Amino acid sequence: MAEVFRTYGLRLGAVLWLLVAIWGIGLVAAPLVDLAVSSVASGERSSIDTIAELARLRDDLRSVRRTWESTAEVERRADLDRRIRLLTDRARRLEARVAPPETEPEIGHWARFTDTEIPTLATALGRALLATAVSLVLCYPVAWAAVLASRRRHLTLVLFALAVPVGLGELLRAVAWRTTFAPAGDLADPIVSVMVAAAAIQVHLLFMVVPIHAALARVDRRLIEAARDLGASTLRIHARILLPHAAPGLALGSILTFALAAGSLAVPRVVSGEHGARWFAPSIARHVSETGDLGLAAAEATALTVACLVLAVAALRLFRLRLRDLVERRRGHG
Amino acid sequence: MYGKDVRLKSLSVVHGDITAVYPTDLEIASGEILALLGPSGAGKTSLLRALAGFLAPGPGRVLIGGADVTDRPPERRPTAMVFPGLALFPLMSVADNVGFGLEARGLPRAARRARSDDLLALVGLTGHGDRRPDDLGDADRLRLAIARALAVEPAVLLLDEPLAALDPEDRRRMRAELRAIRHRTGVTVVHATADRADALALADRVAVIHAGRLEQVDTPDRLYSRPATAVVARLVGDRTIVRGRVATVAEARVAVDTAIGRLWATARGALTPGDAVAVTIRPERLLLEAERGERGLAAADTEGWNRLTGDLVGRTLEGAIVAYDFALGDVGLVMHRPNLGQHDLLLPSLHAIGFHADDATAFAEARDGGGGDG
Repeated sequence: MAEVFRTYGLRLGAVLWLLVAIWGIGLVAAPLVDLAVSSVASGERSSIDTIAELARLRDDLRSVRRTWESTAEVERRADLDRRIRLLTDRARRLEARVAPPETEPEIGHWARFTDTEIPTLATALGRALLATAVSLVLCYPVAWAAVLASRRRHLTLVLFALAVPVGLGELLRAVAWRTTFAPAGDLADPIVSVMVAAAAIQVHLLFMVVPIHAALARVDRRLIEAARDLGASTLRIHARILLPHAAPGLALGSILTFALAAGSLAVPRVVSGEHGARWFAPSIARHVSETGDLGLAAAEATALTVACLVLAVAALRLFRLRLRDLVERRRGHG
Repeated sequence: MYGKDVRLKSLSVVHGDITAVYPTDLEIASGEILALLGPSGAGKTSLLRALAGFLAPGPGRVLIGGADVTDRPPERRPTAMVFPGLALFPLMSVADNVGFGLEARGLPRAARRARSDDLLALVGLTGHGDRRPDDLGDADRLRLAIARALAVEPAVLLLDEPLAALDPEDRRRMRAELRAIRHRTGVTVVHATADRADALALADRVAVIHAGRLEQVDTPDRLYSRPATAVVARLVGDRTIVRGRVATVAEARVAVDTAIGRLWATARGALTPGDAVAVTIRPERLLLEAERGERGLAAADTEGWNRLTGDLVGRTLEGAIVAYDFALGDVGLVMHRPNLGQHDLLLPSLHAIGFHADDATAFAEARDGGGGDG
C-alpha cells in the first residue's frame, strides 16, 4: 500500500486506491453478496405479470397527479383524491408482493434448487469441463504454432484468424453452428449436448489460445536450443521444458474457458432451440425474465459462481501453481 | 577422456543475403582449447552454432573425429554447448539440469542421479543438487552449465562467451577451472570470446576472427608477439596505430614516413616503398628515453631505436598498470608502465620517449582499409 503512494505520489495514489476500492467492493464483492443473500431471502414469487401491472399502476398514478395539479375545481379535485388513494393502495399491495418486507432468511430457494436444477447444473458443468479439456488439447498446438509463426513474422495473420470468430459475436457463431449441424434437438440427447460443448469450444477458442501463447512466447528460445543440443526429442522438449513453462497459461485459459462455457447463454439456446433452456445459464435467464422466480435464479447463480471458483482452485492445484504465478513471470521456485 | 579432433573444410555461414562467416578451414586437435577471439558481430557465434548444428549447413563440411556431421541436427552431434546467458532450465533442480541429457538418452533415474553427482563433484557443486539454478551465484551457474554440457560426454565443448557475466575474481578462477576440467575429461573446447585476456590466458591456440574471416590462428604467445594483421595486433593489445607510407625496406625492417617523422618498424608481409601502411606500437614497449638502457633489446640495437618527444596529456590508472596518453601533434601514443606507487608517476610535461623497431609492426593498409584504432 505504501509502495503505491511512494511510486505515484499522494494524490494519484489516493485516486488509484479509490478506483481499486470501487471496483473491488462495488463491482465484485457487493453483487456476489447480494446474490447469496437473495438466494436465501424469503418472499412470494413475483411474476412478470405482477411487475408489469405495478408499472402500469405507477404510470396511471403519475398522470392522475398531473391532472390534479392542473385542476382548480374543488369537486373534481375530491374525485381525483379518491382515485389517487385507491391507486396508491393497490400499488402498495403489489409492491409488498414483489419486494417482500425484511424477514428471516430461509432456504426454500435452495430446497427447490436441489430438487429441480441439480441435473441441469451437472450437465452444464460436465459439458463445460469437456469443452475445457478438449480446447486445452486443441489450443496448445495452435498456441505453439502461433509462437513459431511470430518468429517468422506471420503472427499478425494467425492472431487475425483467431480473432475473427470473436469479432462475429457469440450469437452469430452459435447460429453458424446451427446451420452446420441442423436440425438440433433436446439437450438431454448426449449428441446434442456434446454439440453444444463443441460450439462452446469454437466460440471460446481465443480465450484459451491467448494465455497459452503469452506463456509460451516468454520461454527463452535458448532453453529449447539447449534441450535439443543435449539430445532431447521434440516431444521431450514439450513435455519437460515448454509445458511446465506454459502451465500458468494453461491454468488461466482453462479457468476462462470453463467459466465462459458453463455460463454460456446464447450457444445452447441457439444450437438446441427451445430445449436450450435446460442448459444452466438459460435456465437462470428464464427464471429472471419469464417466471420472475428471482430467489431460485439467485440460488442457481450462486451455485454456478461457486462451481467456477472451485474449478479455478482445482486448475491451480492441477498445474501446481500459486495465484500469483498467473500474473508474474515464473521463477524456478515452484 | 572423450575429446575428438574437429576439422572445418571451407565451412561458411550465410544468413539470407549476409555472409556471417566466409569459407573457413580450421583444424582443432583432440583435447585442445581453441579460443575464437573477435569483436561482437565478427562471426564467432555463427561459427559455434554451425559447429553445434543450429545453422543449416551451407557449402563446406564439419568433421568431428573424422566423421562428417555436417548434415546432422544438434541432437545427433557429439557437441555440447554452453549458451550465452547459460540457458539453464529454471524449473528443474540443479541435479535434473545435469541429468537432462542423460534423461533424453533414456538412462534410468538412479544411474542419472549417480552420474550427475559425479559431474557436480567435478565442477565443485557437490551438495547443491536439490537447489534451483536461480538460487546459485553467477560462477556456480556457469559451473552447472558446464556440468550439464559434459553429462552427455561430448567430443567437443562449445563455450559462447561464458565468462562475460562474471566479475574479475570469478573470471580468473573459472579460467583455471576450465583448464582443469579439460585436463580431467580430455574434451576438446572451442571458446568464443571478445575478451583478449580470456583468450590469451585460457587457450592453447587462438583463432582471431574479424568480419567473418579468420585473420590468424596461432598460440597466444606467437599471436601476441607476431600478429599477422593490423586487426590481430589491435585485438591482442596494440593501442597505438600510426599511418604512413613506406620509405625504404631493409629485409624485415622498414622505414615509414608518418605525421610524427620517420619511424622504423618490423614489416609484416612483403612491403615495397610507397605502400600505405599502419604501424602499430605496443603500449608496454613504448619507453622513456631515460629507461631505455634497462631493456635488453632496446639497449643493444641502437639502429632500430625510434626517438620521439611527446607531450603527456592524460593518465589512467588501470590497476597493476598506469596508461599514459602522449600527444605528438595530432597523433596519440599510449604507454603502459607498471604501477609502482605515487613517487613513480610521470608528471604532465614534455617527455623524451621511444620504442624499438622490433616492438612496432608495419601492416599493409589494403587488408584493413577501414580500421580505425579501437
